[in-house]
Amino acid sequence: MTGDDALSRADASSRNARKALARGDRTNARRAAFLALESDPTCELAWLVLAALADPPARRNYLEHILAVNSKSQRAINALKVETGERRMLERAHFVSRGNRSPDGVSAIEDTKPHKSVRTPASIVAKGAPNGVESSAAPITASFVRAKQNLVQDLRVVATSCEMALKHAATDSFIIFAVFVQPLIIALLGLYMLRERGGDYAIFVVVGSGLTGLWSSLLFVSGGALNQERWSGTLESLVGMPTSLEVIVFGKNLAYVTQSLGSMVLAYALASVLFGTPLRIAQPLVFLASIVLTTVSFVCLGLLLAPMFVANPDIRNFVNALEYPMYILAGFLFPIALLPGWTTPLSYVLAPYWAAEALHAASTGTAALSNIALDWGMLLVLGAAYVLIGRWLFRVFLRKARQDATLDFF
Amino acid sequence: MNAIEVKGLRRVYKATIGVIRRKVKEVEAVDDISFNVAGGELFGLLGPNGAGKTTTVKMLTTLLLPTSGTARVLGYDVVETPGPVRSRIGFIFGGERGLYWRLSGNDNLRYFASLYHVDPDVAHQRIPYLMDMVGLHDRGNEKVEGYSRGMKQRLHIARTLLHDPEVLFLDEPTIGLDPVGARELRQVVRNLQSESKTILLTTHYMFEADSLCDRIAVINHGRIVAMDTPSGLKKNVSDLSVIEIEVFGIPDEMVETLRQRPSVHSVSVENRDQRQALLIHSPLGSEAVPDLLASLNGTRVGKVTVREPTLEDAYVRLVAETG
Repeated sequence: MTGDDALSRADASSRNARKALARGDRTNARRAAFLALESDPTCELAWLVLAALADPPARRNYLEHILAVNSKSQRAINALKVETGERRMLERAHFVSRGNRSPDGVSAIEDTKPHKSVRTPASIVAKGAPNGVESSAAPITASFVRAKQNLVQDLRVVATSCEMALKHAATDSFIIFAVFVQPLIIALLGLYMLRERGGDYAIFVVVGSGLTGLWSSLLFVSGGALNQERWSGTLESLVGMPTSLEVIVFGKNLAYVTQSLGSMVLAYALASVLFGTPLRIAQPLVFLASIVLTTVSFVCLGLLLAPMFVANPDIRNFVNALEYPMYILAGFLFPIALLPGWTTPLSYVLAPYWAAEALHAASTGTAALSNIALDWGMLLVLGAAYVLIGRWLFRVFLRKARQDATLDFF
Repeated sequence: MNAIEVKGLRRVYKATIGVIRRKVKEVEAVDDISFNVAGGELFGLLGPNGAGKTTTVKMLTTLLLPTSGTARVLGYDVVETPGPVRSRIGFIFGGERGLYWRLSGNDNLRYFASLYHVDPDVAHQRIPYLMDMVGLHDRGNEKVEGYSRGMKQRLHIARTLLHDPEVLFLDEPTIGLDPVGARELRQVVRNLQSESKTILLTTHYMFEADSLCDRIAVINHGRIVAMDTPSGLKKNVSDLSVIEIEVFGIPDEMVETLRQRPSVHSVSVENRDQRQALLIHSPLGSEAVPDLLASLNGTRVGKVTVREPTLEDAYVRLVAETG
């Protein structure tokens, strides 16, 4: 078969696919589109038909594929815009495709007559280019649309991962112990040890023991959760999805860190009972802002830990050794001034140290706002650095896991 | 364009042996396999345990890196561009694992839908539809830990269809299911086939492959030893008939004697409680029976049947020949 033969066969098959699509015969539309692609893998019409047949996520991928082959494909650009609800921007840029809608919402592909704007993505896919309008801005707009769409999808994944992790954790007794019981024991011991010293120390212990809960939760629960995923066979499923694993882990860590804030509330209630009066937080608003930044920076720190669990299932054996050094290096329960000088740089690169500084200062009212602002700045800078390094580690270690076949035990 | 294109694919696993003087042992799980699957085709990978079926599927689903060779799914290289491949495929690995047991069936699907980037409105409509399709509509709010094995495997099918993928990889989807459950699941696969999905199916069950697959590749020791339609594979043994002789306590030497008979191509023995079934491939068909019975002199013989070869016979012959 010559090249021309192949092209004409692809043309005929893709037209058949379009006709089948227009009459609602999805099976034959799909079959004819595949036939067309066998003859000509770049046949745009065939890809458009497949896009029209697919659900939104797959449809977007088809459209992106068309754009990869032909970045000026107006039909693909238009359809992508409709997919993401970018109607107004689309109209401003004069990119709106025009066409009649067939009763089932799928319009005739060859119809190029001017008409009112269409509503369904499938019909946009099926339209011809709008009056030959082309623009150099199209690829830029398409990438903007894609970036925005990716962000929305990632936020959705974070929200769902967080929700499911909370549901899952609610039934796990180990998580309940690590998050609530252990920090309470530490708080109780600390409060009895420092009881004679009065009010400020009590709130210092409450905040410090709460931070131990946050760290233990991050270390055991989020790391352990990935190993649990490996045991239950879901780690492979997660890796085989279009979502990046770090986005899923971010959502899960957010759940674990947020729920462990509850341990701080419990420690506060416990201390209040022991001392007979509610403890006073010196700067409540500053404290609240510090809590938010602490949570975010801990979640980002989790992105550094998780890739190691992905690459090596045996890492859990070393986790115990990491728990107490953080309590000490970050100054959760006593100041790092008590430690030898050479450990100070280590503390400075740990977001939990700056979190402890900010929270202790805000709760006891012992530092100026400018000092606390420095803590906040460091939390943000370190959090961003953890995300960047974490993403790189995920890429490296996921590749290693795919190389070493360690995504599943079986 | 083919939906799946595999060329010279290899995968070597490395294992260390010993404690002090460690040695690295290499195991060739998949050894230079090549095949294409057309769009809308249901392609079967048949082979014994350890033949390399799951390793092949894991490479095609981007979960394992090949040692060498290339594989493309819908035109995308599984190593270079795993992202586009992942959003276009669905996969299940047989068994109960791979689900969140402490979450409900609906929550599992809702979670996976978000990971597949399915629009929440679409997922809201699609999840009840899929739960209905796999017969779980009335159990969707129950935790998965309370599901039977068959229900979990059907939930897997629903999970893999959430994003309406073009290509499906089903690795032994009916393993461990009771006959009714397996039949229901095969019906689901048939329905998917009628929607022109491209499906790569691995299975141990010959009748399953025979009844479902458009084409089959028989894989053994990591190599494809035959690739054809089910009827084409059966033609490999069409020159032979299968003589099944039921015996009671046959000694190994007698089986060996049978193998030496000129009318016998191959002999395999199946244990069935107190009895054994001798499955003898012979080009002579029923004419060979008197000679065979004479060779079994002294052994108690039960039922004797002569039949046409099945896909299983073709498979056994292929696997036996490639040892």
